[in-house]
Amino acid sequence: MPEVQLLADKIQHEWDFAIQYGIAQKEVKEYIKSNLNPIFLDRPYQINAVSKFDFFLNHSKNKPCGDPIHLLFNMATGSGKTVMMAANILELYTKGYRNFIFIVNSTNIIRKTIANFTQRDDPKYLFAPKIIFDYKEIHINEVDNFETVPDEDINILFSTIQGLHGKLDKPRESQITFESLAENKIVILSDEAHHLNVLTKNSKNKGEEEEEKNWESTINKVLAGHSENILLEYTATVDLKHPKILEKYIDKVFVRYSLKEFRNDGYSKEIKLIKGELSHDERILQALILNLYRQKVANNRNIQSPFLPFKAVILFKSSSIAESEQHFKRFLTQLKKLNSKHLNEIKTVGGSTLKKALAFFEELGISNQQLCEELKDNFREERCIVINNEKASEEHQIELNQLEGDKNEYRVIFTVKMLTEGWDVLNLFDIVRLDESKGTKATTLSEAQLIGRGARYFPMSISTGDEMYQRKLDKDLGNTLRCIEELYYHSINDNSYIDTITKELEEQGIYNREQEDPIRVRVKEDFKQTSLWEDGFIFTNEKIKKDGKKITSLKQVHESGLQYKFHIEILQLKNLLYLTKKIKNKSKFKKILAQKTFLGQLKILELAFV
Amino acid sequence: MDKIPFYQFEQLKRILPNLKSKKQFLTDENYVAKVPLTIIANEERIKTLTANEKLQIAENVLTAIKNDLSSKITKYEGSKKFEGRPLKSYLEKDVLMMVSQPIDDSKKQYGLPMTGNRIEDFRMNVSDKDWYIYEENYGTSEEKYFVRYLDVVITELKKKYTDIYLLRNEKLFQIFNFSNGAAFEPDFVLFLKEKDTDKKMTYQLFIEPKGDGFIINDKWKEKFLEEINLKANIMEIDMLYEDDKFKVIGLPFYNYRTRQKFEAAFKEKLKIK
Repeated sequence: MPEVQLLADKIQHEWDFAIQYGIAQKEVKEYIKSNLNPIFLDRPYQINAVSKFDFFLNHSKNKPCGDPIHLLFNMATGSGKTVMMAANILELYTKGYRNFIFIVNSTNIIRKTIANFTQRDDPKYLFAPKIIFDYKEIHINEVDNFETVPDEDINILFSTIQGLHGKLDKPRESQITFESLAENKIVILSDEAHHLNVLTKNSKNKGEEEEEKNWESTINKVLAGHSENILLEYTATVDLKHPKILEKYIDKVFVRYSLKEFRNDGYSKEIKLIKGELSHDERILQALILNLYRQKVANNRNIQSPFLPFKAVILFKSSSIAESEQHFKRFLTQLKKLNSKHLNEIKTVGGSTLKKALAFFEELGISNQQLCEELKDNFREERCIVINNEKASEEHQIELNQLEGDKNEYRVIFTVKMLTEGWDVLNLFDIVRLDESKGTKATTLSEAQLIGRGARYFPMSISTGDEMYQRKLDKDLGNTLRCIEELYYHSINDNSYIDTITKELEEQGIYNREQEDPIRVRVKEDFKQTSLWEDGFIFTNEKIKKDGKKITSLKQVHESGLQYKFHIEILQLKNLLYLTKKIKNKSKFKKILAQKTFLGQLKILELAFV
Repeated sequence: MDKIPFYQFEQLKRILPNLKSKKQFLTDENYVAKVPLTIIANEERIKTLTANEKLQIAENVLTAIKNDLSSKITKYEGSKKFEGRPLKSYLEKDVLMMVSQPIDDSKKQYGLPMTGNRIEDFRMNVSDKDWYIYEENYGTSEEKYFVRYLDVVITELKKKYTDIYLLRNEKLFQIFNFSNGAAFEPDFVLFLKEKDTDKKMTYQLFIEPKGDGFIINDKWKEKFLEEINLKANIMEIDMLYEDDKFKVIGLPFYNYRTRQKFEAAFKEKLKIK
């Protein structure tokens, strides 16, 4: 979008300036870092966003004066919106905010969200086991209202927008009212719930339109209740090409991190379209074999990952509930009847990826007969889950968000439309389109979005020191483990459909056709005549286990050396920013900084023995 | 310290086998006593820390040390011995690589060939250069600058050396940091054989071009490259090659903006003008 300057652009500019002068730092403050689950916040774009938010609250000229704040975080699916929310909550806690309203976009994910934010034993719990501010442990409470909540804690009211509107519209005893909400400053966090109203206005009928207007005005009314209120929206999709949306959000879009950047930075799986002249049953069988292949490869190659033993998940997508149920029955029959004959047949018609998989099984000494048995066992009925309606999706939301766990048996999902926002699955490796029709532009769009959401990277490390959460094999496509970095979309074999879905995926920035045609680098033929080629060596060393007996200091254990910082109080640098404008000289400014604060060096020893 | 279960002596001993007591852990300069701690606060405030505050800080720091010790602990090291494997065995397969979105500008060169490159600084007819092992170089701009540099000094090198070949390390091999075993894939390795000497010394140089933004983060790699010169031992290869001697050399990062540093080291190590 040329010519338009979003808030995000202004903030970027201001922030760059602040960093240059040492007013802002490209780092996460200790009180956020130490109070969050450490595995969640270490990517450069996250650190920048957190740092910018801190900067915005403390120093920015663009912060509204005396009015509520309304910001939008536009971040790709899978890029960690929830952890951004958690970090923002901690930041706002230091600014005296205690009461938070968390709006989720559907009841399907409300329990899962509550678990992520408030339950310490949840595997995806966002905070540190103990949250400590000013030497005191504080808690995160799930609440129904803010009447009698502990004022040292973080209190969160979780609700859907419908729920919130309902409560406020027809207040009952001991429930929230507009008046009670206006007593203290509050923060509204909205996860994919709110902006969509404007977006879809045109396609809605009158009644729905009316309803959404009401929701929007409810939020606005709550927001206006207190001059220090804050509304933070988080979304993966905001269509700024739409003039109305652009108008509404031009001064609210705070950070942007697109799916394209996300993919280019290596945080997603790569998508591969698997197509070919296969029958319905053959397409399913090929997908099952490839799904099992990933599992075998991962378990064979000794990878490190938080989610072991490795399990691959496969998703079958139908176009209607009736079809989905039918497909499920048919699948079970197909699996029952499966025999080596089918495997021999598919060998001749399957694509190059399938051939690679079958060769791998052969190498492991797995016969066709054994492969049949393994397929039947791995994808047996108890391991299938059918999610065709809201209710099923809501009931199973916890299981569906823990598909990576070793206690979770599910690995086959039949669905029509699940996979809405917030489905957090890392080990989905195959999506099979069961519908044989070409579909419409709208269904293709939703398929592309489904693929984008399924493309979260499965965290693994192949050798020590590599980045657990980033793709590692873009330059080494021949590596067997590459298939663990790929999501296969098993498409119907219809050229016009393939063309539309490809365009749709490219539009989203998660795919480009060229990638199916990798660059090949060869050794020159002339070099193969040289003596270096014939007799030459490459000398390398090896990684070996350290001899523990030799360790006599912490330095030997911890390579980069330990060092710690501790903030007694958050420094008020606000005034200093205005000073910098007068003082162009950098060193002079630093002097002023030094006078105002004091960096004390204390020995840990002194502290430990008090 | 007693509040945190991690600091039971048996537990500590597992990570630090030579530790004699918990007291030593806290007071010995080799352990915690020398770990720097910075307190940031107003001057007034820091002079008047209460005992309770100090206890809180101590608790926080000990928790942080615990986290660091249990997560970033280094159980590995890189061997000093360098062993030779046939070059051929590394090069049997073609290299396949994916480039997300090649963009034709001077900064994003990765994925673009040198042959016929739009930007003159990066243009080189790779197939004409007998010293470049692969048919093409798709590397980053820094890598391309380095290859162009080698093209300039090659005449000088050929006066002293024969069998000069440059290999781009396309995920072929890794070397491992001596101190913690962290894996490192140097971008290039350069082979040269001394001319006209009895020793018949063959050199293998590890070369890592590095863009401005990455130098600080990857400092350990440069340090490791330097250590190679002092610490690496070549495993003698018996069999047929009794006469041949080998030496591995590490060079400082190649960075176009600060290339003088690399060029000086390169010339010094290879004794050329």
